[in-house]
Amino acid sequence: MIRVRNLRVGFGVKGAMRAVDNVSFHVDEEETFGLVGESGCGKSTLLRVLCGLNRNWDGEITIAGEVMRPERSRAFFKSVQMVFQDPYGSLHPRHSVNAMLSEPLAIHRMDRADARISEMLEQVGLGPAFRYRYPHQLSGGQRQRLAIARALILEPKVLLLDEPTSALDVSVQAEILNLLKEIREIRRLTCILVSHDLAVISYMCGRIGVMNSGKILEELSAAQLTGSAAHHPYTVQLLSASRGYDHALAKELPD
Amino acid sequence: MSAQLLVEDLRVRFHTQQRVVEAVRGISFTVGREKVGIVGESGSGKSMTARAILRLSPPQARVSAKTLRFQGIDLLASSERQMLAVRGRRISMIMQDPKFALDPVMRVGDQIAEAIPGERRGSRAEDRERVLAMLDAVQIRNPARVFDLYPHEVSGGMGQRIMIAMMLMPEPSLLIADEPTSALDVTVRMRVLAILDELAAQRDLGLIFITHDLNLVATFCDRVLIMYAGRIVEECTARELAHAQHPYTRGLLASLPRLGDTRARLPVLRRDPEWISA
Repeated sequence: MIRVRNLRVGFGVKGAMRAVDNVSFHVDEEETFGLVGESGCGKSTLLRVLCGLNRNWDGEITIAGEVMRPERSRAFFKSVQMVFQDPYGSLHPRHSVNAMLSEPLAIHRMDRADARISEMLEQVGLGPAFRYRYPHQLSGGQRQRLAIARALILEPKVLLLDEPTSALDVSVQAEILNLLKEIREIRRLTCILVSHDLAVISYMCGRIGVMNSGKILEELSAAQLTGSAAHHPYTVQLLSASRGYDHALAKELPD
Repeated sequence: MSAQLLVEDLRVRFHTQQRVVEAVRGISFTVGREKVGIVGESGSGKSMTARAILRLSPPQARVSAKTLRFQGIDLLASSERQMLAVRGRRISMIMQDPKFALDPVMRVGDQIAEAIPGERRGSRAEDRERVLAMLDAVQIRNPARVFDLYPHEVSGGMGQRIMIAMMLMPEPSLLIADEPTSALDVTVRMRVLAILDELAAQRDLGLIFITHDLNLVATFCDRVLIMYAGRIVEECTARELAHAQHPYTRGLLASLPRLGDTRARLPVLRRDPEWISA
């Protein structure tokens, strides 16, 4: 479904700062691929390139058999949608839920707008009562549900998730992860999930790429990651750090 | 272990025109020279508790308690002038994000030097030496270089070490850390925690560690208080957290995905209104 080869993204003068450095991977149809790494490793940049928000890249990207160019068509945006990390920042504060869900439908000239919105709200567990509310009247979890609804209302085939639960409390995180699992099955979605949380990534994804300073260091199945099949020292370090505080271990970490 | 801080029936209320919002509903606990974790989700009142101890609650808040005593000082009855001798000097606080807590237009070293209490200040050169020694204590490799940097020139992990250095300068005996490592990457977080751990042990400090991360308190602290809706619903030793009894704590632990998790769905926390009153 998605194939990326030798993708490079640079920022600054002549791309001096390599945010994504020769990255290759592929995602099968209806698979969820995970990207894990610490801040600044290039995982969000990679997603932004895939969904067309960043046009300054080179390499080869194929999505659903189509070779991508920096400029994307309207049809592309309908088939690839993204959910962002911060539900407080990604929703327009002065647009109602209804307005936010109507806009993409109008842009893509889709029919049955009214029915689609109520169905969508139902599916993400918000219900009709939320339709005329504004973001400030919603909790963090409800906002993230709305962001998911907004992405899915165009019936995309690919859903890109950039840290969708890291701004949420753990109990709300569980609700959103359950929702994503359910929806990706019903809608047969192909997903890429980016997170810094190894537990979330291994819970949600079949295959996982471990990123550091713009490169994918190794690619593992969830079982290999949580078993002891991780080879790269960086992955091993991430794994042990995510198990909690350990004084002896912390002393061994590089500065 | 003798308790430095005694808190009994602490309440923090906000009066609005329509109703009274109770942020903290009568909690009691003590802190000795140990690492006490306060865990809870957002809005559970954990930060409000920390602020109430330092008398830094917002002006609209009404704080009351049967006892709020630190080393024999009644914190509620103290005047603002008396509080100056406690706040920062004997109890200091590490904030979540060094980007916002440090003064952006002042050199790091000068900011740390400012934290030396007036009566202990020496000449400029002496103060500089003390700051360099403190930067060395928080394991900054090149203290002389870092001394002259501005906060925007340091990384998140370094910023948090600088903040710890600053907070330790007045030699407090109780440190309150409000989500000190939430903004940091896991590996950097481990390093900062190790520094905090060692310094607390060396200097015999009490530490109140506020966080939403259950894994972290279980492995870092000695004792854990679990807060929900302004109440302490459960208290246990940190190592026993996995065997916690209260349905809220159990629900939180269950809703956390784990490495190698095979559950098809994560159990969602069902909130029982009784947890607030019972």
